[in-house]
Amino acid sequence: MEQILIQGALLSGLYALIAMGFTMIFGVGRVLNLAHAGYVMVAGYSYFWATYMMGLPIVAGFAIAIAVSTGLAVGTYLGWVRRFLNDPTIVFVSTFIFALILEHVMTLAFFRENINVPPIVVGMTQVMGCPVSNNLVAAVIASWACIGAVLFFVRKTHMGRAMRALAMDRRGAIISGINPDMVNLTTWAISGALAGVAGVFWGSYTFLVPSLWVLPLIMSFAIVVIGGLGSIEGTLAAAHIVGFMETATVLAINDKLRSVPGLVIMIIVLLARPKGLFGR
Amino acid sequence: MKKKGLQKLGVLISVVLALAIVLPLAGGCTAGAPAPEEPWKCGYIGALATDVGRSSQRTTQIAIDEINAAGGLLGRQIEYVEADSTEEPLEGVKAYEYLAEHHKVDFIVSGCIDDVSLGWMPRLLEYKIPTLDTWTSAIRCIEIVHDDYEAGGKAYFMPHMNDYDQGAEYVAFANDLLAAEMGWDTMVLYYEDTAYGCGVAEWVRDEIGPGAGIETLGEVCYDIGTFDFTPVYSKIVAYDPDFIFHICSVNCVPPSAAYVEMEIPIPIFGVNVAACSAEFWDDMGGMAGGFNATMPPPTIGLEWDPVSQALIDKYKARWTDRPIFPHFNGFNAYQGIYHMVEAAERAGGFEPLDKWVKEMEKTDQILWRYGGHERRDDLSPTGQDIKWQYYMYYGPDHDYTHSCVLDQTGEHGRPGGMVMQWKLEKQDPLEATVGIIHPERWRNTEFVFVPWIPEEKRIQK
Repeated sequence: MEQILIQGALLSGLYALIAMGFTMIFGVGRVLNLAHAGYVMVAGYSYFWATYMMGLPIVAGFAIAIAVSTGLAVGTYLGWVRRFLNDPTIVFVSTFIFALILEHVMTLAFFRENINVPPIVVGMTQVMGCPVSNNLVAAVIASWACIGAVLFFVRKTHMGRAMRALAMDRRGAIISGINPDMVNLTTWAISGALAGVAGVFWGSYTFLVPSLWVLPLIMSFAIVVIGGLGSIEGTLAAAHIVGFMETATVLAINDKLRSVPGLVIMIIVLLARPKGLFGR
Repeated sequence: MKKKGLQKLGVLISVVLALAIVLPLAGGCTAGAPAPEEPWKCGYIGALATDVGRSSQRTTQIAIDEINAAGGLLGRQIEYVEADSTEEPLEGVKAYEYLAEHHKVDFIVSGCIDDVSLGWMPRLLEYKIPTLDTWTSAIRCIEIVHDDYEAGGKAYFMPHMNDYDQGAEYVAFANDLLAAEMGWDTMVLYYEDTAYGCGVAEWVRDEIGPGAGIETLGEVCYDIGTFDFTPVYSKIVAYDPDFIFHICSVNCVPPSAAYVEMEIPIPIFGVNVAACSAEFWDDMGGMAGGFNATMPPPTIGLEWDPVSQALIDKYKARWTDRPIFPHFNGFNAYQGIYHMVEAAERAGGFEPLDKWVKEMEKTDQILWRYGGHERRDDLSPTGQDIKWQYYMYYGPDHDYTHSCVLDQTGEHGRPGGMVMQWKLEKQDPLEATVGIIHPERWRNTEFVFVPWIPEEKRIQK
């Protein structure tokens, strides 16, 4: 039981970080960016390249990973998505294809072998008699720091309030003088940066492989559907529901069923409350 | 305007589709029976984006280039074509069909993993194309060859040890080092959920217990898609065995990395295919020190005979990206192609199949440690050359039909594998080093524990 609580809490924090950027873009722009998980994957590789292959310090590795994923997100928005904001289907399909292209590019660059990202913080700690990876603890602390920063930004800054306004009532926000293009661009940039941090920690928690984006995508999708598309609070709650359910399933039943609880809950939520737990 | 554009696009698509249909048909009209001056066609099938696939893909090309430079096979050059099987059985079937039907290849070299090879085996029975399978050791493949020999299975050859022959080495290692030297008597069997993992686990379960007196306290089978090994290792640690016997051929880096990152306080042994790759150190992010693995030879860490060394030199001169050093299947493909071509020379080609198979079954090749193809006692520091590699295929009457007897005893007896271990630290700033810890006659380094194994686990009973 202790292990389920500890591992579940740690995993949930990481899940929340990955899903956060995904839900922000939908909340503001009303489009689903499936390439978000691709940015997570590329960020993980960028960090590995910078720190292990180039021998740069960890801080530089983080900076490069965040810069790459932010650049990809901004580039996707400016180069493609901006002209199709009124057609979510095109964005949905094309960003999925973009993620596939990223996978193939990474295969060309790093081949289809598994690569381990050395832990950012090494060693294990015993918590309530359970072994816990220091790296995962660091990942979760960083995740919550990022989530806190995003919440602060959204609630306390002018741009954050503009994001919320646009998410609530697009027409009203525009009449009030908010530039939707700038708000969208900022949202995509923040989302890309979150993908960068998530990529480094997700890569070091798991491993790098060009298909790494698929699992975070499925999991993010389940989380934002359960929490309510576009709801940051819902994403946090759903990440914990999924994280704890997954951990309990793996420890108590079988690790092959890891993804099943999240998907089952997603179906139940879609049937019982289609807008999600915190959806409007 | 928009409508016109769509019409143009429609016409363009129609033309492309028409050409796509007509061109292969046109090619088919001229294919027919190959004229004497036409080249032989060698088809390569494997996962071209993986180290495993690329190892044998590249050494296949080296062998063919050498053969062509020497005048070809029966005066005809060999043309190389390839098909990507990825690591999916269905893709493997499509790739095999593509080589057989589109390219109409004369022989096939495969670097496929077990599940993919098992996927296209029925096609092999159908097309009856001479096929050399250089990676898989799946006993199921050999059972098909043995049971359906006349139905076409005889066209298949495996130029290295099958699972059960490899298992003989696991028992020997468990006897010699784990039981006799360390005095351990309990283990947890920890294996991947693949044809290979389950097959070898079955062998280890049945043989190591009675063979080496080691009790299996529990078994943990994991999915190869597992990304979080925390609960997996928690289960293993709860058994508190003397050691873990790990069987892993696919996605081996994640469980290995988790073992290091979680500092699992129990020694781990067994099969770890990734650990036999020269890239393992870097793939592990520099955390590969102390890892060991049982592998069929030739493997990294071993000294090379002149023939293998020449292959390595050519390989390194031609390719600088990964894999920087071929996996064992690269060596097997290289040698195996020579077996196929030499058999074809004696048989007058690959058809009739029976004639070629009979010649292939006569393969009896020794590679000497110092002399290569010839025994050269004068080059050996001891004044006596050593049989280093031995290639011979079991015949149709043997249970392991057409898998290879790799004799390392020099007595043409049962084959032996090797257990290698990565040094704890890089001895050379550029290249991490590997040594052989078993069997005794090939040992060139001593076994060492990884630093986090507690003293009580190191104590010999």
